[in-house]
Amino acid sequence: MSVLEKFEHPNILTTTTDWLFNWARSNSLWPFTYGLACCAIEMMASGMPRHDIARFGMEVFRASPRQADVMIVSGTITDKMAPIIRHLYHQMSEPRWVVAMGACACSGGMFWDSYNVVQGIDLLVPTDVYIPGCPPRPEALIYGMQQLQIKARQDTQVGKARKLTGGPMSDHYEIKHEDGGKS
Amino acid sequence: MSATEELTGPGQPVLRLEEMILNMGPQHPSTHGVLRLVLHLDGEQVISVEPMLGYLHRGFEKIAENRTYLQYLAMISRLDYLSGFFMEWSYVRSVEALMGLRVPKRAEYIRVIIGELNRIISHHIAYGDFLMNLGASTPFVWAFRDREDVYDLLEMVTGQRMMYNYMRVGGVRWDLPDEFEASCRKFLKEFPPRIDEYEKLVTENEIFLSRTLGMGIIKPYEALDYGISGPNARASGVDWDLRREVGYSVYPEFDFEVPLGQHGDCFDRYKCRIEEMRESTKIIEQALDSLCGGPVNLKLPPMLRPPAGEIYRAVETPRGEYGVYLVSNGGLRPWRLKLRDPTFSAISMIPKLTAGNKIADLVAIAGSLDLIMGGVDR
Amino acid sequence: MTAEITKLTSQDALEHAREILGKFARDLTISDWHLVVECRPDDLPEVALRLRDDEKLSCKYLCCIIGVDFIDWMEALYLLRSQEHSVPVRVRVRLDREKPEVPSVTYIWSGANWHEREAYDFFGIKFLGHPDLKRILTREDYDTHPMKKDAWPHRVRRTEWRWEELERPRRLPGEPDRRERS
Repeated sequence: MSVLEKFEHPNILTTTTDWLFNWARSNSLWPFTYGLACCAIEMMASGMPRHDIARFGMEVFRASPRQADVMIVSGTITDKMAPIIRHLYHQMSEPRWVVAMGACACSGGMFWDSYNVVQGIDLLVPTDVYIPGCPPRPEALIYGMQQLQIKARQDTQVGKARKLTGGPMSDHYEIKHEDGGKS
Repeated sequence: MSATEELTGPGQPVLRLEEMILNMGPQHPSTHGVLRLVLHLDGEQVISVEPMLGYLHRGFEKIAENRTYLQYLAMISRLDYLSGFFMEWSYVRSVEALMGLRVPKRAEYIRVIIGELNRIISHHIAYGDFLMNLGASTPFVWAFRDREDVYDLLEMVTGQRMMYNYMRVGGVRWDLPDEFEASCRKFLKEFPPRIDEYEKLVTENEIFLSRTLGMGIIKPYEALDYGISGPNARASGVDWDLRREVGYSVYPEFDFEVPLGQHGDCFDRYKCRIEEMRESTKIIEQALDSLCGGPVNLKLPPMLRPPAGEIYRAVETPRGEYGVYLVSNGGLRPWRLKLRDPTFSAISMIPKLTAGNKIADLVAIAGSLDLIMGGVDR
Repeated sequence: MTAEITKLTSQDALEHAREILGKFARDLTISDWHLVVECRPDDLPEVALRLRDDEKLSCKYLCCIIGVDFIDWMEALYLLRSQEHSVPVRVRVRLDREKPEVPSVTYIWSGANWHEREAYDFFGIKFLGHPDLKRILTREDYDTHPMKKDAWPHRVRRTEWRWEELERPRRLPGEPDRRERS
């Protein structure tokens, strides 16, 4: 990998290695068990015999963030949980992707007027794929993961400062409120 | 620290151990959702546990004050999401009681059928999750495989796998499709042998028995004291089942038993749930036999205005007594909607049950109590 | 423990409660087959103890503790039930809205511990004598009590929108008027 990092830009010498790494990574994306609420049940169901996510290499749900590739945020993120999701995201080792599963993770969902719900995880972590639904069917989750596989195949290993592709990254998200500063 | 004195003997220099505080954080494979347990440990032994809730607190009760009754009905099955139908049922029962409505008979039978199907799949997860926490992965996969069959039935009726939105105030949304009865009877014929299969795999397993017998014993007076209901309390011998005592809906017409345990340990709770699955199949058969014709809905207008008043209604969910306390001021939106969750009380017993046990036993006890944080945190 | 359920009727329960509670209960009514006992905040521990220890009305099961905010006053409701008879009991305690304080019943029913914490979290009702009264569901450093009617919980976008003010879609000819009858 250090040889590849000597190159500044992807070029003709690195296309095959890029393809090889991307192919290997996209076909064995190990999800992180970040099931919070109802969508977690559908996520579990997608790993089970009827909708088998092991066909795509993703049945290995790891509980430790260090060993996982993709964090499937399934469920509602509340204010109390928000620092934890950032903590876990930073604990994941690269390459890492984030999938927002369900309406609550995409944009707050039906809790748009709740005082305790973060309106979408892309306010906290850079998100790659959004899967709408309440809860999305396992088929929808598998389709979303296939989109993530397409995205992972477009990655490149070359260059030292590789930017993470993803949604709007707000690294210093603080929970600001309308009456500024009152918590 | 008596354990250390036994090691080194009296009069010897004592091996000093410090109490360790370990965070079994909100993200953990064994905590059944976002439950945070702060453990005070002496080595592997738990001295005290402090459960910390609120990581899924979505503000359901405040949101209820901003939604009309029909709008809130669409949201409420996300509370205890494994038994979403019962959430809708208890809410709808309170509104109907406040308005003084009589639900058509056919709608009641349909409610019972769908409700008991929901009870079966909820107990599947209780069984599968409990055993996965103990280390067995086969029951988990089996549980989900069988859930899919019931999902097919429920999708046939309601259109959704999990969050049904099928109840309405005054009945159910629409009638059962024609092919439902045949498929349901086919399922009911194939299902009891599967429960026997689950039992054959697990119930006499030596490791399972040594991990669950005598573990996490809840005495009957303790169960009442802490407000525990449902299979958790019935396993301790508290003979209380709302379906039989209050006799809501058409349950008095059915002939079913309520499984009771004797010791109140993890094994009894597991056994209660397995037996309840069997009783649910009996109830569904009887309900299918007694399905009558008629309307399934009172066809109320969507903007309901219940008269001013207060009411409390509860149903027997797979986890216990789920109650809705509704205060209405005669307007379009509830004034106060309080949701009483059975798992909230069950978690409050965890510190008492696990003091003195090991961490692995804590996992077994938490699994046997069948926790769902969606209802606890509301 | 299969209790023999001697079904008391609501009227019997009312009479019995009047006997045992005496002057502690300000008001006793039957509402929807529940027995509703209203008492003062200071009398609550006495009422609760008597209801729990009585043989006929043995309310050993505390269902939940509910806080309600009526704008002129606040109320704490205790839903109690007995496994022996089938008349649930509700104890209402009327509290002052500015300073809602009521003695804690944690030593009577252990389950009240967390229910009282929740009522404190949502309404600010202080339970005197509670072993560890702190927030349970919202963040520990949260400053408002969100369920109060005048709390402005953060990021509540529209607390009340009026159906009548929204623009209605035009009706097709022949379509009936489905608006509610007010």
